[in-house]
Amino acid sequence: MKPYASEILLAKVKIFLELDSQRQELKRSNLVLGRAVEQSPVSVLITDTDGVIQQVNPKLCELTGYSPGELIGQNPRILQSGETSPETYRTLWDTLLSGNAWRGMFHNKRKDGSLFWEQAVISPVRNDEGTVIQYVAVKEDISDRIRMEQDLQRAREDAECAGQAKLRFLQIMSHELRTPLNGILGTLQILEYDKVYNAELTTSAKQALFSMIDIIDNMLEASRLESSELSFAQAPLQLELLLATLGRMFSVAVQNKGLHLRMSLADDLPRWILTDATHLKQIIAHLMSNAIKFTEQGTVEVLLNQESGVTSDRPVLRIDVRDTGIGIDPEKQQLVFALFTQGDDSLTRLHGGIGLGLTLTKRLVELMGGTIGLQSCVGSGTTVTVRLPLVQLP
Amino acid sequence: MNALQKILIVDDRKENLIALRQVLRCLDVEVVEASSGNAALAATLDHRFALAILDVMMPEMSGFELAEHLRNDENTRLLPIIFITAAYPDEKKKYRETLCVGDSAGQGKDLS
Repeated sequence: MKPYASEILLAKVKIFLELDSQRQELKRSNLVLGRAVEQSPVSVLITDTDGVIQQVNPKLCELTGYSPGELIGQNPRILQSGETSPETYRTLWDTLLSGNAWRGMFHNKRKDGSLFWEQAVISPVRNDEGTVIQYVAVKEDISDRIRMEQDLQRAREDAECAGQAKLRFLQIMSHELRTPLNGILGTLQILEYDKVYNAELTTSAKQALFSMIDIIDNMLEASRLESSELSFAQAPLQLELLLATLGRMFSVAVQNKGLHLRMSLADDLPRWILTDATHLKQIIAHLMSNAIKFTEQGTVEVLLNQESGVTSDRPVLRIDVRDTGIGIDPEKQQLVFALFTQGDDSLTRLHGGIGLGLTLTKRLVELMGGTIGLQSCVGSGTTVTVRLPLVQLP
Repeated sequence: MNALQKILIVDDRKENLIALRQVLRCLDVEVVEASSGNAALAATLDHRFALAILDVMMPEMSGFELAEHLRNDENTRLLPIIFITAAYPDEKKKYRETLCVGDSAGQGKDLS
């Protein structure tokens, strides 16, 4: 055995052994780092300097719905939703190209098209020479937080809105209550001064009181509906009788304004039906009083018909209350059913009322299992249509 | 963690294996012997080697054939190989050219 040859062999063996232990060491540390990234609860994405995706971790795939194969080789642009401002991307690249880490938020898009928010930190990765060779993005899904903030904001706005509506309602209501009170007070003062009975004055004071009672009744009804304390009792009702009662109720009001009142009952309707008479009367009365209030000349009509149901074959009682009044602006037609609002605040001053009528009616109709809608044309009148389930007597 | 590094030595002749073991005696390593290419491949299933020292001239499977197999296996693809051979210098050169593998190195077999 030549000693030099075995020394050379031994030297080579030593070199290879050294290389091997270095390689093992590297593998171990890569493994630790790799596991940390793999198992990270936040998204990690690595791109080259051109922005081409080189590596992604499972969290990112889980969040975006893409597989690693669908992401690697792509530009992170495939995650863009168009919701993040171009300004954001501009500052992002300005920051990265100047060698700094960028922090910010993205509103990105998943594979299925749904959007999510992420908080991201993107930083350059340098090699030993200090040259930037990669960018690494660490991102966290903050959609829940953003959603919560938005909900909170919305709830705050809603509360403010409701608060304002209530405030306006209180103002209108105090005004409505004060007006008849002044009338009553004035009448009493005159009576006190004259010390003589005056039938006309007494009647006007009585009317003012009735209008106050009316308002207060509405208020009570509204608060009962609000707290759902209302109960319904079904009893037989003769429709003809109902219309007659209503006609009598409004005959004075109609005459005072010089309007015509027409009430009609379709022949195919049963004479008797099973319903909550009190509430049905209340609904029609509300609509009629509204129609009379907003009509200066012409006719107020109440039409009762039978209709076959839209969704089922069950018969429907259709009530149309038609007037030739001022009508409602298309934009405000939905608003009139909302609590505490009238079509227009200026209308309140002109026509009185506290804007509860239609809201109450809608609640009542819905509680009775029906629907309410309106058709209106500014200047030529309004038709409110109520549909209720029609129950005939057995 | 600090398991000994392992070296695989392959030669069909017992005396050569003994001589190789002698040379490596001074190293703090575990030496695993195999007397044929097949035995060597079997040994790679049980051990992770830091290095393989192969005799080129062996019956049934030559050292180069064995190296070829090791290169094609994912587990031993990067295993460094040192060839030892009694072949003439010009022949050795030819082998080197045919088998261009990164970590392999030739070594004249001047052992016995």
